[in-house]
Amino acid sequence: MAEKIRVVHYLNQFFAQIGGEEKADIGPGFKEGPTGPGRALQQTLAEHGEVIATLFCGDNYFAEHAEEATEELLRQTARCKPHLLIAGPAFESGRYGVACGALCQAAQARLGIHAVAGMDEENAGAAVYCKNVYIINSGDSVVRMLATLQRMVALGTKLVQGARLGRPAEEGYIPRGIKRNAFAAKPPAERAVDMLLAKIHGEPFQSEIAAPQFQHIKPAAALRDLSSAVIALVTDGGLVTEGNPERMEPGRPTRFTTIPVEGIDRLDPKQFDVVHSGYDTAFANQDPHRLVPLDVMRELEQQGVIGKLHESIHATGGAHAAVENATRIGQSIAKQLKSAGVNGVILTST
Amino acid sequence: MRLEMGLVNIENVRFGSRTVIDDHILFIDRQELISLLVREPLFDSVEIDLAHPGESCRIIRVLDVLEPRYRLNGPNFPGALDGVGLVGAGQTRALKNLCVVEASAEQARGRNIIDMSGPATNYSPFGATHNVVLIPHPAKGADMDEYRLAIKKAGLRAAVYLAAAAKEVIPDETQIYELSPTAFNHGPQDLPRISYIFPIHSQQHPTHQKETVFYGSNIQGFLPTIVHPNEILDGALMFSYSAFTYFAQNHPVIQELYRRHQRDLWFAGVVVTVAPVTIVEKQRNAHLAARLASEVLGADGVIATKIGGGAVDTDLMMIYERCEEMGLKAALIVMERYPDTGITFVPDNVDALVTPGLTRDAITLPPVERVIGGDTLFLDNANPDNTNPGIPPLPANQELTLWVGDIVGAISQVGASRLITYTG
Amino acid sequence: MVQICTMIPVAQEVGSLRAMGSGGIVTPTGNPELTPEKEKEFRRDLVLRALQILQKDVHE
Repeated sequence: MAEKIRVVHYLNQFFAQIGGEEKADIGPGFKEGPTGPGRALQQTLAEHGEVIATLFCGDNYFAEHAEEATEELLRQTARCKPHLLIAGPAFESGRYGVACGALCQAAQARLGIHAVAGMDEENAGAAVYCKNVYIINSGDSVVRMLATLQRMVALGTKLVQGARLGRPAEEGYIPRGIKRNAFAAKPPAERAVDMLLAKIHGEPFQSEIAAPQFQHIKPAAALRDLSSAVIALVTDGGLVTEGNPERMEPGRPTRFTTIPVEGIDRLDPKQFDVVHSGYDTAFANQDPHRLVPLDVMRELEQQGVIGKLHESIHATGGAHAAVENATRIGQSIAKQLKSAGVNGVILTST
Repeated sequence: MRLEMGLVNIENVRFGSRTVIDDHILFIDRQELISLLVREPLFDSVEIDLAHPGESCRIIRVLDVLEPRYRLNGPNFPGALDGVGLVGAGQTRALKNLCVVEASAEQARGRNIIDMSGPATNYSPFGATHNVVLIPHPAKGADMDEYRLAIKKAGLRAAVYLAAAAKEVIPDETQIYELSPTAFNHGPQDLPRISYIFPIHSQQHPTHQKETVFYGSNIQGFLPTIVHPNEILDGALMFSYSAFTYFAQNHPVIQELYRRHQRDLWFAGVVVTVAPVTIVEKQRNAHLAARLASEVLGADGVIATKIGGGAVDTDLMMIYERCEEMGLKAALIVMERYPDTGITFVPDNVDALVTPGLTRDAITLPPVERVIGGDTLFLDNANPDNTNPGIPPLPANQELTLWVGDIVGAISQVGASRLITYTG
Repeated sequence: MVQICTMIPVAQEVGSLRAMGSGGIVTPTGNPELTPEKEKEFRRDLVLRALQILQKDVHE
């Protein structure tokens, strides 16, 4: 790697040698070159990199003015044209850890530069940012400053070089909750038989896939009066208007579509399509009511069984949705429906 | 029932004036094979191409992969190619290190690829096999479903044609697969009896009326049943989708159970089943499959694998729970698709899962000199997750960033891979 | 919300407690084996059951 890695180092007011807790209110600032532990950082980088600048901010200031502080710090970072942002390590310091995580995330997303933070795995910042930011687990003691900086440099260098990272335990970062493949010593069939035999013999074994943990959802209260209720139809079976003009994705959805149905009492198959990679859509294409029961709902509205059928169908195609995206889509649809005065939803899933 | 699989190692494949195996080199009479295949009215023309390990070559639009096999006393792929009959006993010739690869025009929006060199070969065995690639072009106005079925049949035809060249060849190695009828299939008490519950299809993508999956049947309305493991190895099964037929012929779980039979376990047999589309049918099939393993095969433990999409995680969990309720221990092999949660669904009491790998793990493949099977791929190189139908096609010979799961043979749902996963 | 779906265990796992069975993965509110009239009746029965479930209390 010929070019030196240009590094910007973020510290809080204490490590930047401005002052202690009494200086926690100072706003973002800038110093040329390394400061405080930045010197150890520069030593670790040796001839492979240069700490161009040190950025700092008071822990309280960042906590209370996160947006403005981030804006200003990003501005200063961008000016330096760095390859890599190193933030912390913050050890146990919660406000500092959160600031490191937030700044790294913003730098990645908005400046497109690589970033590595450092803090204890129990730090509040770790819980919030470990999914999107590589955070080296520094432990809670400053005694580990140099060791942590070394890990941060090693990881940061790999990121800059586009090298494949090792496992969290090897590289020292807090697991981001993202699965990766690794080459196995034994093939899956052999491992399955080994596991089964251990189970049968009452010997210890370890399952290879952990149960996914889902957020706890409180169910909505029962509908009191159906005859005055506004009911909406929602589907994850991929209903779209003919020709799929919004280019709804057949898999891995990132959004949903809103199909107006005011005054419509049936779904004409010529005016609708079904786009979904996870099931055979031929039957739903022939008759979209097999996916979204608009005809029946309109009749029930006319008969007064329900108060009103909501004016639109919200639809997405749920094949292989990433949990994050599905959650976001669901929340967005719910928000729209709630503000439109909808009381109940029928969700049809394939 | 006893099956003798005579393995003939192929070291190279070339076109020649007649189809013959000479000193471990397979020569193929290209014109003769093309004539055999192009008789199919749904094909306008058929190309045949060869891809060798180490070449800078990429095969795209892969529909299925088969190992050439020839049953010395017939029938070959009964119901699907030859007429009705049975497989699993007698002598079969298998060409090793050589595969028939079907490339299909209807896979134009698919991402199944085989690279003959580069990082993909770390994942897939098909980068190390000599591949005979069939590229049938559809006749004008051909129904695409029927064209797809015709290609799969052509693959069988080619697989048998090529392996027939080994008729007179003395095998380099013979593998014996022998298992007695259930009633007499007993071993020492201290060896746990292990059965394999094998979902062979998920009806979320229903089979075509004319599709030939199991002994030529379209398996609609299929109920769990018992088969002899040799039948799976010897041509009774062709996957509809979601798995490549090579991995039925070389089924990793069946081969592993045979390998350890009489050593640390007793192979108690195989139940085949299907994942249906309603919750009631899923429950019923799970009950029946578990019952067959428990009361008919007398299993102490069960391995079950998955096929199809996320919907089938449910079927597998039901099979697991029914087995455990009946006093059987169960372990499942389930492919992971999601970098965050792995699989769709795991009840807390499911404690024995094996992963053959994560499909959505990004990999960058280098540019290649030659592409077989087409010219373009629909892929967003900056984001393999992007399935927006508006993505323009990319030249297939360039550098590609796609999923490990797109590499044919890297992760088979029936449990073949070189992988394990970790949370990073 | 009431969810008409096939994978009821999955639905419940992620917190969709008012989940009920459907006409199948490929036709949640239909059944192509019936005549169009019967199919619509099937759909109406399904929807009425769904609306009933909306009016029931559920507990985790």
